[in-house]
Amino acid sequence: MAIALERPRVAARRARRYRLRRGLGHVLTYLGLLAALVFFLGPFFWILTTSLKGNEDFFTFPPVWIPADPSLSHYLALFTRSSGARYFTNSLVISSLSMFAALAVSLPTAYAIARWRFGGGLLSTFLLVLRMLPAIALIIPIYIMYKMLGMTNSYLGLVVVYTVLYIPFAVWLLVGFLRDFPVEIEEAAMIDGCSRVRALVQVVIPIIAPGLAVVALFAFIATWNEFLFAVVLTGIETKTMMVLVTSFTSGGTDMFYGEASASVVLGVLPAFAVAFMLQRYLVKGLALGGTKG
Amino acid sequence: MAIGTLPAARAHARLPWRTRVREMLDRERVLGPLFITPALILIALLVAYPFCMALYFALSNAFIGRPSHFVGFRNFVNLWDADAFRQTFQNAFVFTGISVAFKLVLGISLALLLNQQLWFKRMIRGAVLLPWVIPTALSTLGWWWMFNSLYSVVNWTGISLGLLDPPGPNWLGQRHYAMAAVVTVNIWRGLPFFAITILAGLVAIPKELYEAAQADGAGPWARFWYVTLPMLKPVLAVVVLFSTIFTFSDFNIVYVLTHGGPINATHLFATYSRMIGLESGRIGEGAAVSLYLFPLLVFVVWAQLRFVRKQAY
Repeated sequence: MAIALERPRVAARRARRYRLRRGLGHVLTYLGLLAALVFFLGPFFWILTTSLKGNEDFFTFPPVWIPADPSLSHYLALFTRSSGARYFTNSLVISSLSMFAALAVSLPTAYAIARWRFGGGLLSTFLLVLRMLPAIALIIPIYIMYKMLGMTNSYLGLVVVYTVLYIPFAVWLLVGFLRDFPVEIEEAAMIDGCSRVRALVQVVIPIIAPGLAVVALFAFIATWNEFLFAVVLTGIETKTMMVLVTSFTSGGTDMFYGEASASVVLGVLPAFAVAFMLQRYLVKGLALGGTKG
Repeated sequence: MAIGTLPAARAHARLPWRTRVREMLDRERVLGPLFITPALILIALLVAYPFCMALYFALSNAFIGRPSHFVGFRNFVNLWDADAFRQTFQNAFVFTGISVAFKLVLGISLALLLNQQLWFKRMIRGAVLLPWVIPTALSTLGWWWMFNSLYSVVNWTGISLGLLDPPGPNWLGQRHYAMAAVVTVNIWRGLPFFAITILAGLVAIPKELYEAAQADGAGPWARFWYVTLPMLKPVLAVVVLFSTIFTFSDFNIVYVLTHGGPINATHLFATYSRMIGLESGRIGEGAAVSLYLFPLLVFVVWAQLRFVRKQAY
């Protein structure tokens, strides 16, 4: 009798201990994640509020976390004083052009590799080499080349570089999409009298359009974020949003924290928007096309 | 489309020629090379050729606007004798070693946390990815302002948490603190890459392995050590490989945050090479800096890829 009564009590105590331990585990998990999120998002919060603060709020200790009367004056100053509009447009133009150029060059290449395994070995080797090759090793020769050709401080120069840098990743992604595409549809079109090129343009491209959009958006984000080549190869007229950064950090401009923060917010937004659209593919792109980390 | 818009009569007259072209274009022997030529030309012009040029520059005494002569390995020898370069050399290893070690340990921890049953799972994952997605140059500008000497919000937070003594360090003005700042930003930027990639590896581990280990009496720690870690090895190898390469050749963070200062304390190969090659015009030496560890890099990539392949099969 005593033993029979003991059993459920032990079980209950065990269950309670188990639940307690699991609850504690949950709490610790969320605490850990909270710390991580504060570390990851804290800077964004700080920059966003800084961009909305008045000048007097920058130099306080303890800092002002949330400005009492937020204003957009720094954004206004960014556009009037620092010609932010021009840099924003430059970035937009360069990224869009590079995006289309990369797609135009990569699609036929990817098609040749996916359908005929043409030059696949060569390109995958190149992909690997380009990944290891420090971009800095290329930048001095490219700068000198461009100097001789008069191509520094031009949209074209930067667009060409970005196109080339993006080819491996675009080709790799596109080959994946093209391999998933049923060859039968294409063959059917060709039996009906379509040439191969026409089948590519009128049958394949419309069907893999979502894939093309993914590649294009990745190209956009990569070129939008690029800094090294932009710093070296652009001049006053062609500076991108990223290069604007350097004008804030290079000494003696302590007054422009607000504008600097505003430029960060504006420069981050397009990247953020594109990343949001790419959500589903981000991890895949992260694993194989990552150009930083 | 273009074919259909041609006037019928002219189209008829040209038919034999056009048919021939069409037939040729349908053959992969013709179309294949045609398709990959643009990419190959661009790659040859903007990667292969500049790379060969860089190799030549590194072995010459090239100076902006002056004819150059072949000098063999003199640049590499001279660089090794220069204090600034040796400082850079040391910085690169300190920066990469510490950053990658932190990113690996924190990345595994974060991935384990993200692998739990969570509320707002997708939102949390999205937030974690944010530092990796946005432009590094800009986020580093944000950090620059946060580390700024007088009104540093980092110092304020550190003091409030009792981690720092009241005035707090001048982050970007003191050697070791500047390095710590640069490393911190690198970890901030690269950790998402580690966490999310490792998370993908974690999800792929079969549940049965854990059940079997638990049946054999393995506690949580033993399960992590004998199941999770060995199963993650290939993923970890790849992540560490890529991260090592990219961290080693990092440019953005140092360039924006410290410009290599104070007194070269945070220069890395990329920033130093740019300074020597493009700012001072010593192209030969600049190219030599950028290629100094290229052989080592090739070896590391080769070794790690071999290791990965062995693990995969």
